[in-house]
Amino acid sequence: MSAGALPGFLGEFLPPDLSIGYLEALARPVMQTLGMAAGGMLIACAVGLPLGLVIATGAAGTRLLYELLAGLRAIPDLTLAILCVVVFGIGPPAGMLALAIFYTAMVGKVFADLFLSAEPGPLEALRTTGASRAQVALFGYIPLKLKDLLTHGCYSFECAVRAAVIVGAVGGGGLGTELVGTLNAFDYHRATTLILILVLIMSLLDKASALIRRAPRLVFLLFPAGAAGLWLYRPDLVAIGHALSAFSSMLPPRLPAAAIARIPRLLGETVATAAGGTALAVVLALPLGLAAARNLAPSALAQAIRLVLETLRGVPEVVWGLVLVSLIGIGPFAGLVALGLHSAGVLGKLYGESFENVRLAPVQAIEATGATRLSVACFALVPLASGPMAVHTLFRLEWNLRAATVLGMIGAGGIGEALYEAQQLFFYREMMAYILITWAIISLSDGLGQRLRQRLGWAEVPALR
Amino acid sequence: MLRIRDLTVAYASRPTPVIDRLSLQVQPGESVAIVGPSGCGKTTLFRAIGGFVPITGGRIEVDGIEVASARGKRLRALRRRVAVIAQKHDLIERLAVHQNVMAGALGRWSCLRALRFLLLPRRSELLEVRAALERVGIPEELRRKTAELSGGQQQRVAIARALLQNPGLLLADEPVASLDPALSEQILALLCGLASAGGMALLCALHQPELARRYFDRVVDLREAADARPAAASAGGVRLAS
Repeated sequence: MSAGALPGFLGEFLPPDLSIGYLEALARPVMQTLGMAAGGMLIACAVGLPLGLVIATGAAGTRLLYELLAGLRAIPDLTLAILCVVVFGIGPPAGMLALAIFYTAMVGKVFADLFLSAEPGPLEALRTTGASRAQVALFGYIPLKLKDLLTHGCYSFECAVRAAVIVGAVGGGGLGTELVGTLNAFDYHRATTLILILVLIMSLLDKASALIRRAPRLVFLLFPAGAAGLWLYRPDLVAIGHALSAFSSMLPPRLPAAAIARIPRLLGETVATAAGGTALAVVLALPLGLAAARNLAPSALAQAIRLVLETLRGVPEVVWGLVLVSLIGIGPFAGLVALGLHSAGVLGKLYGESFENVRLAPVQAIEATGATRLSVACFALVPLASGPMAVHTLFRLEWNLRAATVLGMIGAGGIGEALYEAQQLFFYREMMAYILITWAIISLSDGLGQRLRQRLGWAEVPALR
Repeated sequence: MLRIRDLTVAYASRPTPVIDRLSLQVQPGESVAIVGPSGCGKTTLFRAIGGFVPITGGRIEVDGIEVASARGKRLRALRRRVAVIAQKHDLIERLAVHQNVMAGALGRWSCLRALRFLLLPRRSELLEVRAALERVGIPEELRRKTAELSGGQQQRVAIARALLQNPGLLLADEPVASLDPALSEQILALLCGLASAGGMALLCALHQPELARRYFDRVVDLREAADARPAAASAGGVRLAS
């Protein structure tokens, strides 16, 4: 598409279709998305919480269990969704199961880490009463870490809703499937409506999370929603036989010689998309972060920029990718821009917070020289905040490598594109081989990132999605 | 009740053993104070008795059962007989007072009963907790959040938890370290009184030798206690049961 045609094309996205009929029709995909997320998270918490406790209480074989969860977490949600769509068929059950598997690994590992960091004194005091492991968990680990569990649980639920949209893009149902349908039908007004609804849902979830952190008992309201999601989108039992035969058709994984020869190029595209997307995000996030810092920018500007960042962040990479593939065309560049836009929202917020958290004394010393706000930013704020900013950026690069592997599935090149093609052509053994390659490069990247952080002495910070 | 013979505990990080050939016996109804400066091994001794620290040499027996060889259910059963009051009371501050006190009963409860108690405590159970709190003088705090209590009150909750465990041996690791003098004396009188009246063996680590001499049947100085000789004042140990 030529640059001159861009404004006209963008104009096709406006105004959004806000007709009552369409909004009514959207109730079902919205419910599907929320139901998949709630059902998947209910399974994830029901399995992940006990697994975390088992690991923390040090029962036999827990090291292996921990590594298993860490390994499972390295398979991206969209990759799992493709797998589940093949095994269980198109529709919300496949999406919900993909989310359940991914978040069980995520919740289990993070909860285990939280429990392992619990103060040892009160736990030993409970053991001295002769309490069993399960009783120490009930009276010790859970109450000691309840606040952190809720914080992370809410954050995971937000991520699960975003992921529920993403898994829809490959046939998992809900808003994602609807969005792919509107873009394929060139119905861009409706695509804008869907994106706006997604941003609205994420904003409401953000508020609900804050409320739950203040009143933890509200978390019990999520249980009926999860149970309803589980019931509505349960996999059909008669399809279990088909699921097993579909899964066995993927084994053993195998790649033809021509496909093996393509792998270096595909991996190169994936890494370049991740690195380019992160670089674009850094360039965009630095000024946006400065403008979002409440101790630096005027309040009204900071507020407005925060809204922009929230919008950029609220739309998942895959959704940006779907829109940009329509806009720019199929290829890694669309993926790069998609990663850049979403990551700019994440990094802009984190950079802004890093600027707000710097020690005030050196900043005031520069201000005392009569320096302008920009000079204060360049000579004090940016150097002082550079440590946490570097940590956030490295985390983002790791995350973007994971995201780049899946963006290919919607036409943005790289290893994901090969995986999607194999699925579409029913080459399931080839598909399984690509899934294993994806898992291997993400595990490698996670391991390298962790070692680098340990070597640099950087504390871990939660990576915002 | 408690028999320790030639106990040695050493850490790889320290050149000399923390505890070197300590021998000690405590009978039911007897109260023994362990004194010595910080770092002389008082807390290590208590953790070794509870089976939380591997011993390098010697033998610890509680009710005739050797601690080092106890595993799984046998270790749990042994711990049920030994209550511990830790220096920092080690309560779960997020739980309410009655929940912390009832944690003392966990050793004789099933997991399901523990869960049911957390969600729906029975009246009889609350009365049992209240009785334990009455013994330490704070029955009115039954339903309060533990985090809202003062340091002294929290220490009493920890003592109530230990009492509810109905132990044969009570290990108190500097139970009055963070309390004012008047409250310290009150707590020590309470513990020694409970030991003598209830036939429970009491082993208590203390910083203050004068308090130890005043309240306990025997005083053992860990610095010179490779053979656990009774300290001079303990020969005719003064006993002040409350």
